[in-house]
Amino acid sequence: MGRDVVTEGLTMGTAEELHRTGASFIEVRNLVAGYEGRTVVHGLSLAVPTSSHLSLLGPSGCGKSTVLRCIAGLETPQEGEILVDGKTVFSSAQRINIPPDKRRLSMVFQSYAIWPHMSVMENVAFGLKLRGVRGEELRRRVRHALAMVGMDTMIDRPATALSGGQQQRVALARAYAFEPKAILLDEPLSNLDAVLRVQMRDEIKELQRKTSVTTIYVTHDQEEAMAISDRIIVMREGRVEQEGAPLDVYDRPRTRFVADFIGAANILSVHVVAQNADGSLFCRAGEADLTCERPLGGAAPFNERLAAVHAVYPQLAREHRPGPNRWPARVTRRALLGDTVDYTLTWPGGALRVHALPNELFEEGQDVGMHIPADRVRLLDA
Amino acid sequence: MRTSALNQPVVTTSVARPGLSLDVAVPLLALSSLLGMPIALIATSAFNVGDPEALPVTEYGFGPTLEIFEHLDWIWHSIAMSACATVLCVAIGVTLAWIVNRTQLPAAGLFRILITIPYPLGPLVGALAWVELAAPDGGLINKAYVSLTGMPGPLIDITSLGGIVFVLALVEAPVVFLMVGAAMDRMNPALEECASVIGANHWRTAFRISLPLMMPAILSAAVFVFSAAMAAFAIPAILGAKSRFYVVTTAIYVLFQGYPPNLPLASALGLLLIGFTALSVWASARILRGRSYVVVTGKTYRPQPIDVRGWTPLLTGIVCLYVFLSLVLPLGTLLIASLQTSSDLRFDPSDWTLANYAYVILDLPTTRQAIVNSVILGVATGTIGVFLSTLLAIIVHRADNRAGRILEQVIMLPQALPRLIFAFGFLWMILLLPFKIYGTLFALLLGYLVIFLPLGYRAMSGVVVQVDRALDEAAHVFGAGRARVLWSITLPLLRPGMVSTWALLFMVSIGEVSASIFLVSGGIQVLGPAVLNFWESGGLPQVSALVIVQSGIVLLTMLLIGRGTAALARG
Repeated sequence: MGRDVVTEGLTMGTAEELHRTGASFIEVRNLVAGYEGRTVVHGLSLAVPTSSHLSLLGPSGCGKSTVLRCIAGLETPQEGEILVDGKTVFSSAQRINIPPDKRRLSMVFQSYAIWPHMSVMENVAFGLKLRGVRGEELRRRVRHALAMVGMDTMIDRPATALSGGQQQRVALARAYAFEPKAILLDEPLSNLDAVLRVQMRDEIKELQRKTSVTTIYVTHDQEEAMAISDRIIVMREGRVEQEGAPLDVYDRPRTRFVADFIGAANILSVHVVAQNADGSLFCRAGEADLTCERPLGGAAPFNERLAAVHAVYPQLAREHRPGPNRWPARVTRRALLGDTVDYTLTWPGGALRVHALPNELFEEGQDVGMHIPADRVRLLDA
Repeated sequence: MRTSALNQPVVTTSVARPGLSLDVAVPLLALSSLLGMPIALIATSAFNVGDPEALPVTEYGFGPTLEIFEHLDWIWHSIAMSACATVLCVAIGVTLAWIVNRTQLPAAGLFRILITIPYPLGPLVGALAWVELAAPDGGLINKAYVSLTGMPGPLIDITSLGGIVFVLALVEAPVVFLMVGAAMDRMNPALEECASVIGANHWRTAFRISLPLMMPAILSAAVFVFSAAMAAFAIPAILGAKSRFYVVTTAIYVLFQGYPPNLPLASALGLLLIGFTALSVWASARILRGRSYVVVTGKTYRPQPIDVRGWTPLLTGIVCLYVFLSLVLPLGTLLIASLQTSSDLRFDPSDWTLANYAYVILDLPTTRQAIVNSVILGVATGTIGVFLSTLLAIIVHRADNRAGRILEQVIMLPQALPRLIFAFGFLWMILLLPFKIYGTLFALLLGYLVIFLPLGYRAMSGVVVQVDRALDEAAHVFGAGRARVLWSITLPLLRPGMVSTWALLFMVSIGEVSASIFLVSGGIQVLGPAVLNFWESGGLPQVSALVIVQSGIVLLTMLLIGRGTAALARG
């Protein structure tokens, strides 16, 4: 269970990148970690290609922060190996445990960890000073780092005079200032309000693009992970549940856990009846006949299964037209969310949540026609 | 240079996280032996029926423990005194805490400081001043009463059980005030606001919501005061001396000082006292289990002070009365007494003299030596104590495991151990040591460090916990080694807390009495025992001058550093 890395998850982009750089900058093998007799990470492995962005996504308590802290050297794992830039920084077998300060990483903390007894300048300068940068060069690079996050005017402020958002920016500037080769971010946006969060998210992405620093990003917010990452690892109870490119994980959740977590609004109970001539699968969902794409790899499973349908994929129309994957449906509830309209429908398969654009509105109680493209119904493994 | 250091692969040995690391094990071992040895010596001596001076004990028996039953009055006195003092003290402390923390009191900040001062001043000020004020024969209040009314008897007898309880409660009330006040500050004000919104008035809210929510803190404070009262020495010694009112602690001292000393009985009584405090700590832990801190949130809410409207003069009056009785009146009485030429108090300034100060500070070698020694000890205890407390607080906090929590319990143990009993066993231990520290300042220093460690540790632990661990971790990840992290991040963040803890340890060292009376044996003198000895041999104006000198040092420290009470509030 610990190592079921999904091969189909390798999209062209990251595969190319892997090929280009030839190696992973950070690699974790069979990591087991926990505290006081409680194991929270069970034999987890991951690899981050140089200059790419990996997100560890999962609910609180799934061990994602522990993995990050093990990589940083702030926690000592019970078992496993951690490699940074080809060098072993931790190995239980070889009894190697290099302290955090010798791992040449950088980190942004959930609580920002801005040192309150120092000014903004001193905070950002800390890592540079440790690397022997002095004098005019030091000030120039601090200013440059602060400029990247739009905080260069606050360089002489005491750290205690900063707002939450400003502290976050300084924490980012501090982490990027000494041009580290890899940076670890531990839920850096979770303490910010919604607007600021989106803004900072884009800024982090921009920073990563500019500096091409290898990044591991821990978050419980699937939107954040989707927006920012080259690859995502969904974690569950200390194990890898699914790994892949953002769109891949979004479109092809493998398990109900992943489907729920990335926000697939509809989980259907289906019975796989037969395989069609074109290789697609013919299923029954409640009273409805449903055609769905056969999952990649593995034989066609003829049994009771769960299927995920994202709320954005069903298409609604004024009139029902018969055809494959087309059904009559009725709107039972409607809620205007702003960008989208959230409909609850009844259809022969039961109830369904559908998000549609507000350009064409349907009334509660209205009969409509619904179509779900076969490639948008994803059979789940578990 | 830094870059090359970063390039070096460093291989450290320990991979698995051990439950008991060296930095926890070493202090654990050192403290356990420093505390265990004295207790073990007392325990063996309590069952010694052979040669009372023999060590190791040759014959064991229950003689000394049975002898206790001939002196049940001492135990009864101790329990009665402590129980009454606890009730009175908690009533005073909780009332003051509520008025100062939760109502709109004018100059609340000033009162907050004034109320806490009696604690660092120590027990001598209150005890001596109230003897001068209300002794049955010749106390100022009683003399005035007799001459005004012509009645024969004294109005107040401060040497009675009630009098001793009164003075004890006055001196210990600041502890309750601080402990309960801190809990009030931490309480989520929404709990009270909700009651008011539903329709309860202030008084109903105070009694039905605030008071029950404060019960865990009040109970903890009560146990603390009870233990302190059971262990109290100076107040019952001074007030109970003439009326031959003995409690366990004063009896132990008399048995120790007697000729020949009855060490087995003293030890047996000591064990009994340890048992009583242990029992009360255990009982409160049982009652508090699962209850404490359920209602208090960690966030620093600032509750709205209650507008008590017409009640303000009364509430202000209560606070003023406490400050008057515990601080202004005692210090004033002693100050006037210290300016007299004879033991009869005169209020005419033209008769006043500073000769007593010259005498105790310059002329008399014992008191001169005591002042110098106390200051040296205070500085040393403060400095080393802060260093140790900070280190231990960091170790326990960072360890964050079972071993660390055990170490914390051992550090806090001296708080439940009556100082006088500990000093009694400690004296024994240092007499047995192969190297001679008996009769040196170092013996006192070591004793002080052990007994004040809980105070310093609690104060520093409060600071260390507040400092987000990520602040250290960030520096560590950015490439700073352990020493560098300690120097540039940890210590600067802890500095304000360290200064206030230093002041606290310095002040309590200057005011220490009950451990010092054992530890000074051997020709060396410090302020607390010096005052007691001096008082026994008469010379009221001179004793008063010495106590004023002692109080002056404490008050000056508070004034200069001004943060002593901050550490006191955390401790």
